[in-house]
Amino acid sequence: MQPRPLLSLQSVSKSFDGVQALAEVSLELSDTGILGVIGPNGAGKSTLAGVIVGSLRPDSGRIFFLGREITGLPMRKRARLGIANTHQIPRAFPSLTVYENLELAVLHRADTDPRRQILETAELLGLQPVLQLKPSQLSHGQIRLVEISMALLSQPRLLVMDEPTQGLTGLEVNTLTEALKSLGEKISIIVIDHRVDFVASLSPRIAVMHRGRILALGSPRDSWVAEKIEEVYLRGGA
Amino acid sequence: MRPRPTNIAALIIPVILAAAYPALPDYQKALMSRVLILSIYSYGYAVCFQMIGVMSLGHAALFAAGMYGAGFYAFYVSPDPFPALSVGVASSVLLSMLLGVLAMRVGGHYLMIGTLLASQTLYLAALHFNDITGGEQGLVLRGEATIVRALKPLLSELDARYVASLLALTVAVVGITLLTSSRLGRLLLAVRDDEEKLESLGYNTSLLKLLAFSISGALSGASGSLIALLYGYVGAGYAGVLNSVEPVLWVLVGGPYVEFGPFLGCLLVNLLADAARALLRGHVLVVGAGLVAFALATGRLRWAYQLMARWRSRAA
Ligand SMILES: Nc1ncnc2c1ncn2[C@@H]1O[C@H](COP(=O)(O)OP(=O)(O)OP(=O)(O)O)[C@@H](O)[C@H]1O
Ligand SMILES: [Mg+2]
Repeated sequence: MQPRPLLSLQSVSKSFDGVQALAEVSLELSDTGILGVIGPNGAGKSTLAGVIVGSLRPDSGRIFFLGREITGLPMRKRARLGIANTHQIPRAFPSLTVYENLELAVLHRADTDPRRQILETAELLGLQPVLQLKPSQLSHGQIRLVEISMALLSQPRLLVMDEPTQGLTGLEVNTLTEALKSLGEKISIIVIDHRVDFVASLSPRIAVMHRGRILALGSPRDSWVAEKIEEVYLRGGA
Repeated sequence: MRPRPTNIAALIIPVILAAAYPALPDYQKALMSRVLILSIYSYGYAVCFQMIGVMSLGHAALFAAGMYGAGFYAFYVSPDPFPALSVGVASSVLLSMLLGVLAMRVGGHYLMIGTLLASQTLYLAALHFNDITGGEQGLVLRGEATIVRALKPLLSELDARYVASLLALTVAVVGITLLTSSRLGRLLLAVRDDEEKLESLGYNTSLLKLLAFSISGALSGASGSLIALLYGYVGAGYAGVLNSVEPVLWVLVGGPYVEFGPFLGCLLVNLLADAARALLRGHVLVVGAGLVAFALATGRLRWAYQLMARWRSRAA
């Protein structure tokens, strides 16, 4: 018997006012590992993230998580099942300090010492110096790191990250890469990004999206995957 | 828990009010008592408008529910002011929960319309059933029903009102500072900032809004109940539109700090309105418009714009 996948999408479609953002996408993820998702603007990457996380309802198709159907499940219940995400445009709560932001992500699980967890995560992503500041006092990249820290602190089983390197400095990208690599040994991560090199450095498994479809799924070293990447980026698609 | 500067500023308010009391002329003592009670209503409105970013246009419904709840109890059941106060607060909490649940069913933005309809319904019902409510004329509670009477052996009527309202306001201010420095307070601000993001962290934001709206109802109702029990009077006028608009004005004038803004706004507007009443025979709205114009001109309302812009973009 095949092991049950952590996440499974079965011909999921979604369109906006006639624009087909997702067209019959099927996908399976196992309990650990990183899936890179690349594709040009408008390929449907964020829409894919939205239907998994629950901010968008698919028009058709079904989604399963941990063997249970979550297609119509509200976002907060998916979060409780262990799905966390970060947004393409980073979102933190502007009225709260960085520390308070992180606290909200961790406190609703009454397991371990939240303060220690927060400090550890802040240290991992280099946020200790700004813990008492508000998001308006941070750089774009730092706000992104705050959102990523929140996602990590919620201790997800599946982490969906929409363009996590946008706005980060080279140094921050390196830190994040290392953090994600080790996290990917414990949980499942979907990393959406434009930067083929970044995604390839993270993961041997890449989905190439274009016009709402996954055109290829495999290692960037596979010639046919590399071909698709070249196709969608250089020649504007098949 | 770190003490927040805004909390300290807020907690100084009752101290100043207590210290200033002996120096106030009788007229100001009476005026201030009223302002102190209405400030509790102002705080109640602020919990809804400033903390979760929901604008209500009919908060008078919650105020009046408290007033009638306490007033009816004192008038028809037992002239005992403290159970009457509990009944008043409970009535407005129940009403706010009812309105909150209904609004959540049809979408959060309908809260605004919901409270407006509720306050108009209450107002018209109070007029229609005037053999029970006394209509526009209202009911005058028997002397023993009032808190003032309960304090009579110790204090004069004037002093009793002031002491009771100051005590009530102190409880409200302490409550608000505890709320803003609690996890719940931070969650409410997070609801206002980005409801969807908070949902994505696993929180039930509808429940949080309902909770905030009930707290708002409790404070508004406490204010209404105290008006009934300190002045021994309930009347339909308190359910009217003006009593819904005034807290909006107070909170806007008071500025962004929910710990002391609602008090300052309420104080400022009422002092100016009182001055105007003396000069112009009661053009509250003229003064109100003047204050809003002043606030707009000095850019003090920027926070309210931001709030409403965020709110509108969420509605879109
Ligand atoms: N909320 C929306 N309303 C209308 N159209 C939308 C909406 N969200 C996405 N679309 C459309 O759906 C298509 C896919 O968008 P999506 O955001 O998923 O692409 P993407 O791959 O994330 O692109 P990018 O790299 O620019 O982030 C695009 O044509 C986009 O215009
Ligand atoms: Mg996108």
